[in-house]
Amino acid sequence: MLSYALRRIVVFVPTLFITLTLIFVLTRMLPGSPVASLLGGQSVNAAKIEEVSRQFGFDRPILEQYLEWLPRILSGSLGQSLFFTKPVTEVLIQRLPVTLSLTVLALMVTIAVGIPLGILSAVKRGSFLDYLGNVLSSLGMALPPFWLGFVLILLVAVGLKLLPSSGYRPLEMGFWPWLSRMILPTIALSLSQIGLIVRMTRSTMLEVLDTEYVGMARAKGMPETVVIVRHALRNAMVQIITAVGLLFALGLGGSVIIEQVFALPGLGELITTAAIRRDYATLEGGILYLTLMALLVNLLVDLAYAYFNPRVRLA
Amino acid sequence: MTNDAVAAQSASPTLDVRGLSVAFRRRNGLVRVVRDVDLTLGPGEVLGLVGESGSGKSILARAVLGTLPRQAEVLGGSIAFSGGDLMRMPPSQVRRLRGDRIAIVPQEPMTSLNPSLRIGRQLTEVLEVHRPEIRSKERSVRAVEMLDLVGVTYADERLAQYPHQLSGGLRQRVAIAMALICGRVELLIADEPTTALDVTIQAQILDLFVRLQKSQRMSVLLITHDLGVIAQTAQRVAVMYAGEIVEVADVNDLFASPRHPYTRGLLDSLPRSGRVARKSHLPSIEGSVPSPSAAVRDGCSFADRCAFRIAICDQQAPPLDSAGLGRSVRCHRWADLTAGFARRDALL
Amino acid sequence: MLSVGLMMLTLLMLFTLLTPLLVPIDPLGISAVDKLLPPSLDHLLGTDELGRDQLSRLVVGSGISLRIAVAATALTAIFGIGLGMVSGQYPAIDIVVSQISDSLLIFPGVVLAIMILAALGPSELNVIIAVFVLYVPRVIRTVRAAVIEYRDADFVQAARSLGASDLRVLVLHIFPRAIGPTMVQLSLGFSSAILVEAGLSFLGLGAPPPAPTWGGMISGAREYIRTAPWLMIAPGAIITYAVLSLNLIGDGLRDMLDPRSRAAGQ
Repeated sequence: MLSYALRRIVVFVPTLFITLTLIFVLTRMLPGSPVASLLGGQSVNAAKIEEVSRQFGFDRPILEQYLEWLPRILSGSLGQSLFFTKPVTEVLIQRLPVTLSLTVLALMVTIAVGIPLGILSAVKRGSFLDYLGNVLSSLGMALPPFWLGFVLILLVAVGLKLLPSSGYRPLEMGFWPWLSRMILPTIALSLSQIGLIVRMTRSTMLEVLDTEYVGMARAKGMPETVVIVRHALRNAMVQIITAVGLLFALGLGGSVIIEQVFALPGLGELITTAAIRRDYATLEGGILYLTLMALLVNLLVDLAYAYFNPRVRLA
Repeated sequence: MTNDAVAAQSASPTLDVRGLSVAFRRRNGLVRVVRDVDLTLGPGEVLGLVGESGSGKSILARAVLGTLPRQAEVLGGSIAFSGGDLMRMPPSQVRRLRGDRIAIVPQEPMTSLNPSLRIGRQLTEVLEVHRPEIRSKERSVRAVEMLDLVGVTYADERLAQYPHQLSGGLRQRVAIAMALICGRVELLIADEPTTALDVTIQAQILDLFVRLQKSQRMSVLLITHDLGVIAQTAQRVAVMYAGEIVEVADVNDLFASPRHPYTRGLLDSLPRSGRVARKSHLPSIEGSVPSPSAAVRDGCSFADRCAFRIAICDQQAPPLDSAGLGRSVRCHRWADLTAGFARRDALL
Repeated sequence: MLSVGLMMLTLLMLFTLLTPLLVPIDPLGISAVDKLLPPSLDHLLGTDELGRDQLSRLVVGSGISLRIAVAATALTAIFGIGLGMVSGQYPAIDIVVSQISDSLLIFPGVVLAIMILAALGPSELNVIIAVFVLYVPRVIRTVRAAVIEYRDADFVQAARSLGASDLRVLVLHIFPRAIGPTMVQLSLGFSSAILVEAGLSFLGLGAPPPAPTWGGMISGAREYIRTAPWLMIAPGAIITYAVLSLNLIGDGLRDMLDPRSRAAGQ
């Protein structure tokens, strides 16, 4: 298992490298001179521009800049935020709990609702529950999450006045103030994910329930719950976990928009505003954080995959 | 007919299938895959069930086990097992018989064991369900004993292994151990137990089978399309064609003088030393098993492929006729054909 | 399912094409007197904060959405199938293509799109490019998997032994086997394109104003969520409708092309 984990980590090195390169290339492609932004639109003479350029190395060839940038980023030094006038890392650390709250809650809801519903849909194929799961997943995948967010605000916050419509309270200010503001964003973000995982779980379970080893478990006289949980689900988990990993990356992307809807000061909100304000260091850092989170979850998924699949674990 | 077989039939049977019909639900209606099957299996008897793929053998076996696929439906009939009717028992009661008094050895050892559970777990869980009085420590001991009995080497180490770490032959031995671990199997259904194995392993597994069958005094329903396997192990044979039993006979009688043209064809297509002259080719049966979804025809289901077809074969379905002691045949012309075959064999 | 989806999509296209013939369409006409009107006979879906007719904007937005989705899907199909076949066939190219497309898949999708649009500037063409970059890895993977699965199949070996060239084998013998799963991926990509486009326009990164995009309309309506909630409902409902119809087509295609899932879907 340990050697497998090490091998997976090694495999992630080129992925990390490509991702970082992509971030570098895309941020360097942003329109407008970075120097002008750094100087905040002050009218300055050519000498000043040249001085700043040299100071930040913008006058050097792009490849040279890249070779200087890569080790700096890898060492965790993300630079100063133009807008917040403090280190980017500080800004990011402040925003991270918001995004983590949202994405982790949404993932928990997705797993807690979607996987059981998918299993039941497969086991009780053709039943009302299966039908309900199908309608829910079709609708969940078709509703734009940000619009669903507004509809929820309209109904629950504005109409019924049950929950606050937007904003964020850190967990330190109390569980309910925190949770009450996370409920609607979590529902908005998780519904489409639930749709995906229900379908994925259902089709995987149907496939596994059809295998000969599940038939054999029945032929051995195992009670139906043992057949479903120990024999079918255990094998289906391998694929369900892969889907959960993909969902998390999807959820990170979705959170960017949901944070806008509910005015949540998270990483996604930071990235969108940084892109508009041309705050490059912040943009770079924010994207790096989100990508690293996605990479990390993918690594965890790979390890969980091995846990459920002895052929991989013992290879 | 041997004395054994006579004795087996006269005693109260272990398994008695009467008029069993099973159909698959398809979009365009029901398709009958097992048609009005009668089958009797005495205590300690090995009955071979022969037929081409698609003849309904495996569905028959799954009907007996009570594990028919979802889209299958039993249209009628009864399956008596040591007194009770499996068709009329509540499913939970049939489940408790499965793996305990009725067991199956599957066709595909490569895919029949759960890939994510250790061998030991897959063996002990059977005891857990059917023999809860055995304590968990003793279960592992029993699993090792069972693996030893079926010839699995390093049995205690195997408990911690996963199926993918075992060869096909070993996996089949594990599957046999799994079937017998409760120690009170009365009916063992072996569905093509050697088909997926190498020839040398096949022979070993068959030997093991015969040995275990004698020592455990089980009745065995041996499903196969391999007449060689039947010749080595079975006492009686039932030949299945297109969902129907077309001939039942003592194994020696069947090989010596097949009565149904289909059985005849099956035997003729076996290579036999000294029988086939040089340059002549191996005979085969023209055509193939009719698809179950093909329109049900009047008359004999084998008529289309039969070399001895006459007018009546297309008009009337032949009944399963008694053809001597312990024999029955489903053919309008079995009597005159038998005489003709005997003359031909005499010439060869 | 396929027929229901196709019918729904046809209705959407008829709505887009025929509405301008039935009611006067003026998506940009500003009128201070008519601002924030609730639905009425004059303005079936009401008017926005600048007095622009919502129905007109919805119809024009529908054209923009479908145009972007069609163009992005076409690009995805061409490059996805091409790169997928090549990387399935040639391991040396595969190393590069697969590594890059796998990295793109790990990247949180919307973030990638935001970066691309921030770099290239918001415009219809750039939205097409962003959606294309987001979905092309999936198609590459699907096609590549099919090529690898059949690369050494007996029928391919037979074709090769008769002297068929790599290109001929890929296009005539292997690709037909990949059409099914590729079509399913593309139809899902099509519906995702509509969702992503709506999301980007909502963030202000889609086709720039005054172009009436569905996402842009929702974004504009957020300030009036308490006073004029109807502004929000229609654009969201039409996005849901469009995506649902395309997903139904995708499901239908899958059922039609994969008998196993049809049996499962009963």
